[in-house]
Amino acid sequence: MIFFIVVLVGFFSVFSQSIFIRELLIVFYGNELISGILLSSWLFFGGIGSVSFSKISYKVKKDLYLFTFLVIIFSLLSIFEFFFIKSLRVIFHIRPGQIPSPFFVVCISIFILSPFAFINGSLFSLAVKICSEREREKAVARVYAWDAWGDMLGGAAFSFLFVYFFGPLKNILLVNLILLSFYYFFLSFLRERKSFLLFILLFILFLIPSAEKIDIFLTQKTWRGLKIVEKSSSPYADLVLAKKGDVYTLFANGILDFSFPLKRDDEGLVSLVLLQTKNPQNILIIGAGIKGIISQILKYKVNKIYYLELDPTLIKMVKKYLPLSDREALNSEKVKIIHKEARDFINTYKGEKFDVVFLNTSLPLTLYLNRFYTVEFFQKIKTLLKEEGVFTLSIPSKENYLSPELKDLDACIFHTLKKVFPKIVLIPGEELRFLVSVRGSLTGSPQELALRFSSQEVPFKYINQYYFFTKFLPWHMEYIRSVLEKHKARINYDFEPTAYLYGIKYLNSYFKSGLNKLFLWMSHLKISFLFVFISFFFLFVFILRKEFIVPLSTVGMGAAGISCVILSILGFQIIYGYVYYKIGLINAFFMLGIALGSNFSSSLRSKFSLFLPLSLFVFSLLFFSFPYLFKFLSLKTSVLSFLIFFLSLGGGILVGVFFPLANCFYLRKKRQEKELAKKAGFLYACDLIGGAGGGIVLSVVFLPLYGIIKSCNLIGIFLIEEAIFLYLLLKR
Amino acid sequence: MRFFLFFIFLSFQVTLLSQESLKEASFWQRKGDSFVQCLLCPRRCIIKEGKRGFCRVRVNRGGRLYTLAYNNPVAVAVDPIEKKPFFHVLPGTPALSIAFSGCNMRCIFCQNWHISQKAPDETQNYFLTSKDLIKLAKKYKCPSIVFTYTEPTIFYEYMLETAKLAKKEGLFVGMHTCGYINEEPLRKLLEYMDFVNVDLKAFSEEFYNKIGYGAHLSPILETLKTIKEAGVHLEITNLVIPTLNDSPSLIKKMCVWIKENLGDEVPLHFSRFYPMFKLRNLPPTSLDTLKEAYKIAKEVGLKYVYIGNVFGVKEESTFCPFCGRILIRRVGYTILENNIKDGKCRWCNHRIEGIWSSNGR
Repeated sequence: MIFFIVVLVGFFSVFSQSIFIRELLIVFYGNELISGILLSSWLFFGGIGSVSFSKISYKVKKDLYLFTFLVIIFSLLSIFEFFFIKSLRVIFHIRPGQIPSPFFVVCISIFILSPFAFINGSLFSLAVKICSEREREKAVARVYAWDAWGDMLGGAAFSFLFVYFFGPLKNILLVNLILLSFYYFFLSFLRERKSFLLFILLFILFLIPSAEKIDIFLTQKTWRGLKIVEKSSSPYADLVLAKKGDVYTLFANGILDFSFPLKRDDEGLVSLVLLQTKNPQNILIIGAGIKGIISQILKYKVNKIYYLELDPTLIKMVKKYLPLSDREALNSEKVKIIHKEARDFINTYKGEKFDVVFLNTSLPLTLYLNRFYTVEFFQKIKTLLKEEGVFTLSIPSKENYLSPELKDLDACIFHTLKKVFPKIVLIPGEELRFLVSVRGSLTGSPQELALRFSSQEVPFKYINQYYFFTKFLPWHMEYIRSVLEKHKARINYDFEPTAYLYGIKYLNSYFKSGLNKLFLWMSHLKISFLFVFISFFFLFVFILRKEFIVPLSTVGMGAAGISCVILSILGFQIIYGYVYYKIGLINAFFMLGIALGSNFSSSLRSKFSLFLPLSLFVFSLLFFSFPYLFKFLSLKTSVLSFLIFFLSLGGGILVGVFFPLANCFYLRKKRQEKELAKKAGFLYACDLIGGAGGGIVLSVVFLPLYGIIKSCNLIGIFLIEEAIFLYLLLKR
Repeated sequence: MRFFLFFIFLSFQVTLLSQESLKEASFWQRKGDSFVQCLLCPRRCIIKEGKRGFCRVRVNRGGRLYTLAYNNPVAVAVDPIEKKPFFHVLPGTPALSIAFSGCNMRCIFCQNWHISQKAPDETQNYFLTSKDLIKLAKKYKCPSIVFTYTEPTIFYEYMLETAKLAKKEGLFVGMHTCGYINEEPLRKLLEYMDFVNVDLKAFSEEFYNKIGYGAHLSPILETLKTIKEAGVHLEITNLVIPTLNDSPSLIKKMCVWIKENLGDEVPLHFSRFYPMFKLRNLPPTSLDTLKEAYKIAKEVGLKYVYIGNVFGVKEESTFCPFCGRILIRRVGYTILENNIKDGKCRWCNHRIEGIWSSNGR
């Protein structure tokens, strides 16, 4: 029965963690760096909880009472923390729309997540202690496996079910209801006191009907000064629509996505682009078309507009509030709205080529968004575009001075575009707009554009021919071009996401933090130096403190595990695009692998000295094979996409096999229960800390600095070194 | 092409410049053995040896105060004067705009944060003496030089020196400032200034205290009065930021104060906010809000009120406050019509406040 509770706790913890991290990112307008830090701190403090509790739990006689107490604290803390997260901006007087410093975000988030993560880790150690009374050495493997089952189910339940139907507060309350209800029955089965649980359950049941209203109330407090018109959750984002004056603004995960109606701006943008080509017929809009540019495009005599918007919830929410002309434009028979991700669409599109393509995605601040600014993506766009067609996108910039960070980012995109499109016109400003083409008659002359404008039979309402003289200021145009032509920035590729690195550096430059200096220092680090450093470190440990090889290898395995998931997800996104449920499946397959591996490990216990280093070695081969597999898959049809799931499953199995066997090594001479749980707790902490460090080092350091191929090779080499030293240790 | 060659020239200058520019500052006093007090702006920073003032530009070296902003501007450009914005100064002419890194404010919505929130030794600068700048202005046929983008107060010494030279050469001189400067240096500067635009960010002490990091409203109001008193042409810009300073009552208070203390002929620009810097998640100002602000200002009795950062609105144009006819038809930065002759409305002869031609009025 205790194993069932372990599954439940695992379910609850991953479910809640998904909500907390998502809410923290919303509240603090976080990016991938922040999300990596949050996840890592969760794992880290889970590890601290595990190792701390493994040492003190033996002083407590009544395990079950302690376990029950911790479960209740776990539950109540989750509700309290949700309210605390939602109130953070009010408590700390952070103004609506203001970005807080990364240092503040990290500190507060760690402060919030650490108690929850700590209890999570503690429950693992306590569960091992309780189970070891009966299961002895097998307790660790079984608790680890059941915890993995729970994690997988929790993650899957949130990603595939709950997020579609309920808001975050309701989800927190429902998962608490599930946890405490089952725990109530558990205590009934054991004939223990449980009536106090009824009070908590009643409290939760009382809150559930008003959960959505409370959520909107708390959101309104955060956005004081703006009126929250509507709020919705989709698997892709938490969406909030706010209003101030006559302007509506959509926030996706707390970040401003677009505002409407800004008819002047829309009419201006569409003119700037469509006047670059004669008689545009087929238009493709990637993202944010709903804000008003479709109705402007329809003023030109176009034939077809394809509008790609991944999230149907966004369309459904925003459409209601659009001005009539924009709503009618969406319903026009010339307009086709497609709920597909851009790379997915481009890979399968077989229709007529386009005259104009608008790319309206956000900045490359995540590995996911970086894929829309790469050579490979631009090449795909080129295949869809007519030779005289125009492709346009914009990124942050300045017209009078480019800081080193902006120079890197702007030049990276500029040179990446230049690799694919020979013709480029730059429109400087707060956003640098690129107009590119293969053979089109692009012009940066305001006089020429004014002439083209005057010859159009388009019912312009807000702009006139003088508009172009405000956009194409000669001094600024020449400044930008001369700076970008000269500045050597790295080209952005799918497997070398440099725009992502530059994007993060640019965002960090808002604040005087040490992060940029750290990035700068790390970007000069050679891979060979890292390799030598780590090798010597292992050698040093092996010679002086052999007993740390196993925990060190556990850290390495934890890091490799999370790296496997991140790389699988990234590879999938690059090749096939972003399909929400498939990304969730990759996670689920990994957790399933851990569960299966843990179950399987019991049959390998007698040969742990062989299978421990072997699992590391096999994992290294997996990492070496990642780049080849990705390259192979990118040339084949999407039928083979399941191979990536198996990659993730394989990684999970290896991690699942390793951990219990590592415990076997520690416990081969120790037969006392307290030693069992103590060591299990310590190794579990190593596993989590490895996961914490691995996630952040891969996402934030290795991938942007070295790219995917070198990162995979580096991880593979580290695993081989661990395998060698572990083998040498175990051979003795 | 000519601009391109200029940038090649300037970039060559950047590579040559490898040492910081240090010039002894003006307006400071000693405070004990190793402290100095800067007297340039109301912050009156007391600076320890080796440290800098709040602006990041003025540094105490050996018990003397130096400025790091001298001959090393970070941004130089030729812009339409309407962009500054100056609507009552030499309409349709180009202005040579110049800035140095640094600022004595920390506004979280700053459009030029990438240079204002840096020190001169943190940015890649040009090397341009005052004489070079004058030559540039003449080369690109700019009748005026405008100190702008960041806060000109912090490069006071260069600004004053350049202004003096520019006046001798027959150029007009202006600045766009937050107004956070002490009276004495301001009065000295105004002897060589022709026109000034002051950012009146909000008519609220709380706003300046919190958003301006301990700044105050009253010194800025004093600056405005001093400029008016000195007879220098004054325009005011108010960036209307949703949720921060857009309340009608606050705007009204500001307009009433302007009318009572500066007169009803000071041009007032209500500028639209776009998501920027640390407020990049705040929505842009709605046109309704700007029009409401415009209406309030007109009702209070201010004669020349404009809406900025919004293309193609009629509130970009200048109308005669007496006969109501259009004086300057502006569309963006383009002047389509100019009906001001010898500083007066060509229809009703009403005198229009501003600098309309190179002879001063």
